[in-house]
Amino acid sequence: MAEESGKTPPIGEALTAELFAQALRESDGLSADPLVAAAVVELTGTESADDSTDTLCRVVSADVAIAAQLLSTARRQHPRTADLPAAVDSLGLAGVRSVVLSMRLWDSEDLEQAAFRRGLALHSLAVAAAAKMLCAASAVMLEPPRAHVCGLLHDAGKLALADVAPKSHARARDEARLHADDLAVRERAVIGLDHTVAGRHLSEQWRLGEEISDAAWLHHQPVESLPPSPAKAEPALLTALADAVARVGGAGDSGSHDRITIPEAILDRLRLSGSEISAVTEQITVELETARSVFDGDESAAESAVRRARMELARESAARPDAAADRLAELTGRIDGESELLDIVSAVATGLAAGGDSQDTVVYAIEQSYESVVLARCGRDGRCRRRILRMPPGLNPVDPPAADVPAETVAELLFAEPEAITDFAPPAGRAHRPLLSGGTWVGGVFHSGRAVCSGLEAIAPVLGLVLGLGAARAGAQRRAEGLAAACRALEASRGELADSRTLAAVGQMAAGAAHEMNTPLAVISGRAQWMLSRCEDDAQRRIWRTISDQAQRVSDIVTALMEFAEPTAPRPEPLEVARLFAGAVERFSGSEHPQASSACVDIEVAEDTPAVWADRSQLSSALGELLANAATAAETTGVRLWACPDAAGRKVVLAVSDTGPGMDARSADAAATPFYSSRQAGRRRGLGLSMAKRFAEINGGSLRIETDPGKGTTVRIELPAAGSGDEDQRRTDDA
Amino acid sequence: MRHKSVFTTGEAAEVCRLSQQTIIRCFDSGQLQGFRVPGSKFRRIPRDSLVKFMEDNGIPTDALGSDKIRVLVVDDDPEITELFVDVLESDGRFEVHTASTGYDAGVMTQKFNPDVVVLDYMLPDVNGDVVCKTIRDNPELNRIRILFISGVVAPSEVGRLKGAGADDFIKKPFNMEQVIDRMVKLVKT
Repeated sequence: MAEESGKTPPIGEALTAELFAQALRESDGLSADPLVAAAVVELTGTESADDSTDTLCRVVSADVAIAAQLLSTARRQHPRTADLPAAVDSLGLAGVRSVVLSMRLWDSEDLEQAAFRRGLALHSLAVAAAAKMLCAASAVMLEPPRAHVCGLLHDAGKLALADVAPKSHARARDEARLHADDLAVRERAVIGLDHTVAGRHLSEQWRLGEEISDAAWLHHQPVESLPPSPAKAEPALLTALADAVARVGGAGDSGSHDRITIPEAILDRLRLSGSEISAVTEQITVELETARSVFDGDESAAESAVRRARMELARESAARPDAAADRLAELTGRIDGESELLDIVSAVATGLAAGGDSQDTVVYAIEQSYESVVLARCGRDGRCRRRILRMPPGLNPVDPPAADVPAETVAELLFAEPEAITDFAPPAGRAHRPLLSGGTWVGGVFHSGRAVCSGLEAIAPVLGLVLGLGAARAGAQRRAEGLAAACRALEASRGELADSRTLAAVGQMAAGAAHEMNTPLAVISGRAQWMLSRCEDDAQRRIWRTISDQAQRVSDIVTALMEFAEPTAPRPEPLEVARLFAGAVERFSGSEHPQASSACVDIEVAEDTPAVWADRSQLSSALGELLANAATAAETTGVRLWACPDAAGRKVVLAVSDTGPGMDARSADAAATPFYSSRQAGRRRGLGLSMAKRFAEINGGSLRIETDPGKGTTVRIELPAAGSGDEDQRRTDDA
Repeated sequence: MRHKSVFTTGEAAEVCRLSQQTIIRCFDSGQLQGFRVPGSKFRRIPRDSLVKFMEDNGIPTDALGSDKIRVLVVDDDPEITELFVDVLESDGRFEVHTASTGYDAGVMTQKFNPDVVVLDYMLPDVNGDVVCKTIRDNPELNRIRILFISGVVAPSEVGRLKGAGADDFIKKPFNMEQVIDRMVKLVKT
């Protein structure tokens, strides 16, 4: 598997879908869990038990990588194999054993990795079980065993990313945990692509079938953006629903830590009810028992067992004749209408090299975007290396170089950095044959062997056509991915737009209300004051004072709503967090809050916390509101103000935690809505949290609520660190 | 002259419509009580002495005027203007007139010559800032203090009202005592 120091870019640089696909292809498959591999080896050692397929499937399901590898191998032999029991039956016990023994094992001494992979295995298994049961309960066309495998492999992209870019993916997982965020969001931020795109590439490269590809790729897409055709949408719908059921039920660990609820839109579309969801949730635990018992095994004994079995298999294989013909068949079998451009280029290069001389043959294809060139370099031994190199801008695809143009000149024309091609396959001493499709330059061959040359001329038009079709397909795929990304961005911006429109409407309404209401309120209040000044009876004076005060209170509510919708533009400055916290606590202690004098507030500021870049008055006000809420929830104990830098050191996290009763998901979702209060009795105007959120946002940050019923609530404000460069990202249009 | 508590001999002469020499003579003979500014020879006459001198000598006191603060309240809502009339007149320190449009406000300002104009922003014909600017553009009305009272609360709007030449701004609903204090302070500064 590629290391991060090799083909994949280092942390901080984006991994493109093409680079990922290349790294995945150059890898030797996903790594397997030693415990599951050993359990499979043990089960496949004898062929006595009648229920062997069922038991084997249960064990195999405990490792997504093994399940994916088995299905992929089975489908290469029998393309209609669509579920795990069929794959196991088709391969037979010996076949399953060989596949598992050919897989690399991951390092069980890396405890963080083991925890992530086994947590994900339990989550995937729970999703698979839920998808199968939901499939059976709803009137969909998909068959339950196929829904099971869709659920099982829906997060295979996470394993692929963890194998291809282990450090970056670990960081994405850390960030998702730290910020209570969706792992896909953090993967996109840290790695450059998320597990849904990775899962789709894996499914396509491994020929896992369209259903699994759709489940992996589309299970995070908004329901309304899914294709209308049931065959296309059902795998994604069932997987998305099963994913939510598994996460709400707390089965396994998906790596995502954002809050999730059962998507009502999918329930409606699949015509399922809440009682069916509850039944599925209860059953999931039972389905995880086999996997849990496998995970209880002894890892070093498991690794030894797998090693022993591999040695036995090697001894048996040595006696068999060379499988070169099989290998050629496999390579040529890789080119079909579904093949990716790198596959096609590799297969062509392998085919040409087999008939060439001692020097390697280099085949390249120009991508439709005219941004990069896909290359494969193969020798007669069948060893093939691949590379994607950048093109210079302005290449004219309808003006290909003539056949007698030296290879060095062509390389200069084709590659933005000619030294990159020199490192990969020096053009010196080679000839070049351009390949055309419909008159357009789509690729070519760098070669030297006469044998290659004579054979090449005859098949060049066909090769050109194949490369042209491959490039067109890759272009279509990239556009589809771009469309999916745009769809996600649109979904996010649609929410933001709706928010900003609502705020503008609220602002306009509050401004109108302020003017219309304040004049009659002034008359009520003024007349009450007038009567107060003329009245000598204490009881009556109290009444006039109350009337006057309450009129003022109504006016204050309208003013606060207007300030919420159209707050004053922030005047940010660097603010030292410890001092900010101390000030907030001091002001709270002097306030009229019922717990002001009794609440005990702990302050913890991590040593390396930088100054925060925000408006002092607005941030102080936000902290005051959060402190008042926390003190109300926790009453006398358990309020904590803490701060730390985020993982990238560009933001500062300021948080207020309490050990109060917490909130349910519905209350947490509505908590930052103006005038919302979960308390029926003694409720006060609910603008505090919404105002704090608004202040955080107009200062270029965000506010997030993490709550656990019975345990407490943490409200986190994330703001730019002073000097981080993120200060400029402030949304001045909010101000 | 209405709010002056001490007069120079020149001012006393103007009020009494006599020559300054006559005032000085009456001062020096003791008919008109007063004092000399410590460290200089300049004569000063307290308001009470001047009033007594005028009354003793049958001189009309019209030119001294009332010492009440003249307030013009401009609002199209009669409930508001009536409230101000009741509260300010019962206070005793104010003389109040009202107007309900921008046009009336202009006429009343010329006629009544107020010390303070209490001005609502939203009027039926023109907005308060236009009335404010018209007053400010007339050098003869320069001393008039303008106090905006409005239901508008957006900080940008408040800034705009002050920019039109208002001396102060008070939001509706208001505390009447504070409004009175502000008016008195504005007149005295």
